[in-house]
Amino acid sequence: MRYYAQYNSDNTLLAIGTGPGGVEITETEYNRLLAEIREKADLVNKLYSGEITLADVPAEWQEEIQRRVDERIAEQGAAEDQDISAEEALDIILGGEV
Amino acid sequence: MSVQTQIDRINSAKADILAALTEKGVDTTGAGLADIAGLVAAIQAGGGDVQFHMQTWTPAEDVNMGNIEHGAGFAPDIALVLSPAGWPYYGDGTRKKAVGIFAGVSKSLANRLNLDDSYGRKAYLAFNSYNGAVGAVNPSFTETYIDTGFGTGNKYYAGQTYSLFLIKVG
Repeated sequence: MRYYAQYNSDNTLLAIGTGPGGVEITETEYNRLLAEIREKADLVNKLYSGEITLADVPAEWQEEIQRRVDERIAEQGAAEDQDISAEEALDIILGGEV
Repeated sequence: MSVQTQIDRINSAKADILAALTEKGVDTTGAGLADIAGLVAAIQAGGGDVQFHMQTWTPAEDVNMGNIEHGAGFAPDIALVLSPAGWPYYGDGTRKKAVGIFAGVSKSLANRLNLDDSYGRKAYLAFNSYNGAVGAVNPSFTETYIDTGFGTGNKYYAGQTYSLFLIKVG
């Protein structure tokens, strides 16, 4: 089986896969990248849902994971889904209950 | 094409082969029949040529894409993209019960499939990930890309492995 990687114009990893296309990589490299991609995706999901904090993310990945969470929040409008009243929000802003 | 039509075409091709071999003085009896059987077996049903291609694709980050790059080397007539973890639909951007997507049938809105289950869209042809609507524009397929026709396109999730099947007939 052939394994490949695809890169963005800035040389960051876009995707990996099997079959034709991209730049051929070894099975070992494919499995390593797959594990890393899935670990990062899991961290993004957990940070987004509040299961973990940024401190739980490996230091070398923190910037990337935070950026991806921020992008998801911006895209999905998570702020609209927050179960918080305008009064509570005002309290927080004014230094009241948190 | 009906099964009977395919059988008729195969039989017609078989008769043509037998006639051609006989005309060339080839003994088509006894052991020669095995060769003919091999030739007939090599005939595609309907007399056409079918090309099939499969690859997987795992994005490193969540990405919206209208085009999916492929390495088939031919422009398919039909593209099938399978999602392992569902697709967002109906505008809320979350993944629910949807389990897959059928994308494709180039340049023909009339041929799009739309399979529903009780939770929403279960499978689509070329749909919009943001509102679940079946596309209003034609998808197009080339030798290097599948374009679902949605501009910024469908959303693909980091770490999910998508399977891409491409078929070209004739």
